[in-house]
Amino acid sequence: MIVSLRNLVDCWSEVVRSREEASGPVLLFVALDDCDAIATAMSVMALLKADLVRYEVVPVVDLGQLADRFKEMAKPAEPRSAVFINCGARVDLEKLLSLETVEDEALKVFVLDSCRPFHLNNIESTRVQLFDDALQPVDQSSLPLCGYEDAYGFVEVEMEDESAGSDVEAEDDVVFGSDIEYESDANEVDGTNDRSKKRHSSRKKEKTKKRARQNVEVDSDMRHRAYDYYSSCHVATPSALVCYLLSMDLKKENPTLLWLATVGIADHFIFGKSTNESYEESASLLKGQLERFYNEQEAQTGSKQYENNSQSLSSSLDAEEVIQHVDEPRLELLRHWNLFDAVLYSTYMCSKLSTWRQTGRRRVLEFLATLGIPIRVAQQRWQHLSRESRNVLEDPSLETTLGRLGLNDFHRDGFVKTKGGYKASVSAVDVVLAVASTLEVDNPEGRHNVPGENVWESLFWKAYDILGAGLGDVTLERGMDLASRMQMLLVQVGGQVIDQRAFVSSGTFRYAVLRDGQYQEAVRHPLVITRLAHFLMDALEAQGEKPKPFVIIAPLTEKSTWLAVAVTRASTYNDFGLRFRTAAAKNGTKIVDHGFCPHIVEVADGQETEFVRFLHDVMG
Amino acid sequence: MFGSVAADLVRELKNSKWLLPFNESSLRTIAIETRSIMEMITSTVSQFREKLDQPEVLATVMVFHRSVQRNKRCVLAYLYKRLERMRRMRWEYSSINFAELSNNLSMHERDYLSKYNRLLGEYCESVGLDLTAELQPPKDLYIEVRVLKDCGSILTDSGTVNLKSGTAHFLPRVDVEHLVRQGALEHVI
Repeated sequence: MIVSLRNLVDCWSEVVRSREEASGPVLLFVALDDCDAIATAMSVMALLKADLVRYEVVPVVDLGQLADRFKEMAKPAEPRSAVFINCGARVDLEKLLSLETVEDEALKVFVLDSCRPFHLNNIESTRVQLFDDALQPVDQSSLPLCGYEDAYGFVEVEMEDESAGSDVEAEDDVVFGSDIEYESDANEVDGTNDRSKKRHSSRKKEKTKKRARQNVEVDSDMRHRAYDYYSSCHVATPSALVCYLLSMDLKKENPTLLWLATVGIADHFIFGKSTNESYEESASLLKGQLERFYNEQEAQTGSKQYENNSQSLSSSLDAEEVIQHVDEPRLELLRHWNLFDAVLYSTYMCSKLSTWRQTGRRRVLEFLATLGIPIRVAQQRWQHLSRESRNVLEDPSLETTLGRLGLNDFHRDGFVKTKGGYKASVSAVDVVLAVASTLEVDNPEGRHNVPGENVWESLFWKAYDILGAGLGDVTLERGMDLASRMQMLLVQVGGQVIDQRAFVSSGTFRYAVLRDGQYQEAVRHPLVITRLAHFLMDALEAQGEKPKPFVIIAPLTEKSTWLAVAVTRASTYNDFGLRFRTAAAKNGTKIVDHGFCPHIVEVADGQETEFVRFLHDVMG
Repeated sequence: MFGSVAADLVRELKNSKWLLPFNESSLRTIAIETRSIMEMITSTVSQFREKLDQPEVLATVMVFHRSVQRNKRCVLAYLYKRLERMRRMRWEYSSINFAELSNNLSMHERDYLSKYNRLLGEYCESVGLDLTAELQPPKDLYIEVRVLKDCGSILTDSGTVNLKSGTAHFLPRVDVEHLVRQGALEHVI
């Protein structure tokens, strides 16, 4: 069932309500590989804490583990309900979790997932509740019939016109054959071969055949509709934002939850999950909320940001921490680096100016000259930069000057957390980067430990701590260090791929295979690779190439498989999940989902080149 | 040198956080040493009965006497500190852990502890409150904990809780306070 934004509160009361047979905890299953998921989990936990409801948080790596953990946790604990955060909306949960076998019949599963489309069985099921970001409930009749897909939302369909025809015929034959069989049976039983009867039966046969063909046509039409439905893969509003809307409906919103929502939207922005427009829309919504929170205080203290008195707020955010909306330059980690490096390694600047090349470096210097900041000053740490130099960056009149360098949308909406007295500040985007790199890379050498389950979990909690850390906290700083190292690596590897033309442009998409040893060890994880692919897409587009989806295939050394990650522009559907499966079905490649995104899969070792070849065919 | 064994005894106690096995041999050595010093004092006094006001004699007796005092003080400190630790452990870890602990206790200590336990038990019963459950007044009734070591399932007032490592829980403080103190759970603030 789909829960629209209007019914959030009713649905929430169902989540926390204790039933007669179950007054246990609320189980929260959180996707491990996603910053938005962590932010959402944090907000949900805050809401549950406010109600003094027991909960248990279980980080999960993939769907298989989700099912295992669900069975393990659901049985003895008599939970009130289970909430899945950023996992599970696209698969048939009833089947995957085998909900019928769960003893507690009334146990419901609530899914807060930004992945679309929903699995049709989930929409029909009464025990699965899907939080949606639409105001109106979805018109059920407009959805295709379910039953054509498997539990993972894969519809088998022959691609395009010529094969679609053959599909129909093949099925037709089957119907025909069964018809004959039936008839000969009838003959045997009757023991007669009356001519009229035969004629009659042959006419009947014709009729059935016709109807069957019609049926098959309708059937294949429905099948195609289902296929189209499942290939409309996109990412909706960040779950953290949905959660914030929920808290507003519950009248429990506070700056902490607001901050988590900004982190959620920043996550979608960084990883190319949301379009610029939808990002701006969410940002302006949160900006409005921000003004609501701090207006009272401004009236009280007169000073805008640094002396706030949050006595009047029921906020668990540190009393001195204030969130501000700013027009942020698109330089990642600026506040934790120096201006020069931030410009050199920002993915935005890099893709526009190709800063990894000598000419690009010159253009960076030109850029700094345009700003009027000497190099020596720019190489100081950001905190030591004078206020005038900082203000130059935020000057709105800069846009016209930068237009000459091709930097048209240099600023974007951003959110920054500052602390009174303490000069450092942290932006939502930087937090996302810190959390994302902590989720993937364990120790500072950039080399990952062999991932036992516990390693992932400890990384998850480390990342969780970073998200929850106050300003000036050591964990936060460490995360930022790691993030800046990853950022440098990303740009280096990206530049390498472009300069060596290590990617192949083919038909409707481009792909690159990052072979062993050639590239840095650290670029082996889905989040980094996703960012790399987006970076490559931007950079190639800036060089005047046609925009195309990008597929990156990189080795997963610890599992000795290959990771295939496909990204598209957020404005188009990313249907690579289905395409991967179709390609794999065609040549028998073994692929396994990695994490919860359909467009990130693991390919068995030795089959990666084959797989790409078949992917070509599928793309047609 | 006089008093070195005693000093070692105290040092040993200071360097460990746990209760080490009762060091009976050292105590006996100290007792023997003390007795020999006492003999020296008496022999010195009887030998120099007429010259007791001489400073060199007085100094000798004084040094011997101080050594005795020091030994006594060290031993008392040792015994007292052990008692203190025993009591603290009783409060912090409840009585369950005492089976393994009792190997490290002397006979008298064991006796003391069992009597102390009984007294505490009687008192708690008469008041109708387990005083050892919470040492500090809790800020919240519920706490958030993260599981560091697998604890299996535990049974609480509000149902079973499956404490699997890598998960986090929000639950009444009393249910898991002892596990937090043992270090199997981490209290997230």
